[in-house]
Amino acid sequence: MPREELISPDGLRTDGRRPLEIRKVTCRMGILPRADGSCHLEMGNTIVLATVYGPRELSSRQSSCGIIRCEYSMASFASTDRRRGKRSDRNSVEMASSIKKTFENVLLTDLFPKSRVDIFIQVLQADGSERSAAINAVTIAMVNAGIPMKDLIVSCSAGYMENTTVMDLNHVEMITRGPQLTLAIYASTERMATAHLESKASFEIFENLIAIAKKGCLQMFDVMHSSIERYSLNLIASRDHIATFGSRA
Amino acid sequence: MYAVSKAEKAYLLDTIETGTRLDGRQLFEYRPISLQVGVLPSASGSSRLRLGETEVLVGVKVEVGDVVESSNDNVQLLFTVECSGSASADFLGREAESWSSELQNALESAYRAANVFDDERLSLVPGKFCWLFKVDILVLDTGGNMMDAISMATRTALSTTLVPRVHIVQSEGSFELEIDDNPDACDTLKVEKAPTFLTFSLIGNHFVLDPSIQEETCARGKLSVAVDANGDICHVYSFGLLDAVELSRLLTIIKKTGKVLLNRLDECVKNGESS
Repeated sequence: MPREELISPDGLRTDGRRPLEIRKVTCRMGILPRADGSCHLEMGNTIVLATVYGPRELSSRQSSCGIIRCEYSMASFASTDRRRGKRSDRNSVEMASSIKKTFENVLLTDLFPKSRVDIFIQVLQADGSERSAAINAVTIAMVNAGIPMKDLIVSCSAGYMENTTVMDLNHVEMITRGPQLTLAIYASTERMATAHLESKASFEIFENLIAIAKKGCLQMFDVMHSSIERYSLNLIASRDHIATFGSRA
Repeated sequence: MYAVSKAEKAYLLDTIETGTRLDGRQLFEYRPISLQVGVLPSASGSSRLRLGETEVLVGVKVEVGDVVESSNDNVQLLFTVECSGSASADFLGREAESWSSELQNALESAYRAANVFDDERLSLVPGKFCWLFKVDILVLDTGGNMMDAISMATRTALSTTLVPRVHIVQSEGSFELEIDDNPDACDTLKVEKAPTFLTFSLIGNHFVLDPSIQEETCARGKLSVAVDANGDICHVYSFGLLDAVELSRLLTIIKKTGKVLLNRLDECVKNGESS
C-alpha cells in the first residue's frame, strides 16, 4: 500500500492547513453549573471537557499544602473505532499523572492547606493532540474556578514529517509515529512547564520542534486569553446590571 | 454524595405541600430541556441533552454483528451508561456501578418491550447477521432525574442515526456483506415506537414530575414509567409506598405528558433546533 501523503506538493496538510497553522479553537467556560470550574474546549475535531472542583475539604490525610487529584478518561465513542475507555488503563493513568504534575507546579497550593483540588478530564472526541487539549482545557477550568495560579499554562504539539515541521497535530499525523513533541509553557514568561517527546529525533529537529511548538502555544494562548476575557467581561457586565437594578429598587 | 440539611428538607416539603416547588415549577412540570443533535462526527448518531442541571451525551455506533442465541431480531441494542469523572464525584465505587446498571437494564427492557426496530428494511441475513447498535451514554452532570434525560437523549440520538445501505452477496452458501460505495446511501432509523421515561418522586404526600437532585434526596419513593407515542406502558419500576388509586391517577398524567413530550422531541429533531 502506498504511504499516504501527509504534505501535499503545495505544502498543505491532510486537513488543508499550512504547516504552521493551528486548528480552529473554540472554548466555552462555566458550562457545568454544579462544578466550581469547567471548560469545553474544541481544537478542530478534538473535543475535551475539563471540570475542576475545589479547593474542598481533604477527608483523609492532613497536609500543609493543598493536594491535587487528576482523572483522565476517554469516552467510548471518542475515536472512530469504538473502544471501552477505562479510567484505569495505562494511557489514561499516565496522562492524568503528567497533567497533575504540570499543574502542581503552577497552582499556589500553599494558599489552601488541608484541602484538595479535583481535576476531571473527559475526552469526548479524539482527533490528535489530546494531551495539549487537556492541558489547555484544565487551565481555563482553573481560571473559571478562581483557583490562584502563578501563571497560565498553554500547550501545543509539533511534529516532524516529510522534511517539514508542523504544529498542532491531528490524528492522521499522530499515528505516523514520527518525532512529535507536546510542549506546555507558562504563558507570560514563556518558560517550559512540560515537554513530552515521542520517538527519536536528532538534536536539530528537536530544537526546531521546541521552537515551533512554542510558537503554537503562543497562538493558542491568544485564543484562550480572548475567550477568558470575553467571559469575564460578560460577568462584569451582568454584575453592573444587577447593581443598577438593585439601586433602582 | 449530595446532601441536604434538615432545615432545607423541611422547607422543601413545606413548599411542595403548597403545590409549588423550590425552582418555581408546578408539581407536574418539566425543567427546561435543551437538545443538540449530530454533535459527534465520529459516531453514526449523537445527541446532547440538558434537562435543568442534568447533562448527558449519547453516541450511537452502528456495526454488523453475528446473531446470538438464535433470535430473529434484526437489531441488537447494547446500552452502556457511563459516568464521566466530574459527575461520578457523587457516586463512588460500587454505588456508581449499581446505579449505571439499573439505568441500563431499564432502558434495555423498555426498548425490548416496545419492539422499536421491527422494520423489514433493517433485515440483513436472518439468523446469521444482524445490526448491532451500540448506544454509549455518557453522563456529564448529575442534577437529578437521570432516567428521563437518558431516555430522551437516547431516543433522539437513535432518530438521527444513519445506517449504511448494505448489499448481501450470496456465494456458495456463505453470505458476504457489501457496503454501498456511495457514502450518502444511508437510511435514517425510524424511532416512532421508541419509548421515553417519565419519573416521579414521592415527597411528603405528593408526587412530583422530573425531580431535581434536591428533591430526589428528600424523596421517600419513586415511580419511573416508560411510555411510547401511543400511550402504551413499556416498563415500570417503582419503590416506596404507592397505592393503586394514586397510580392510576398518575398514569393518566403520564399518558398525556408522554405524548406531548415525544411530539416535542420529534419536532425539535425535524426542525434541527433546541427547545
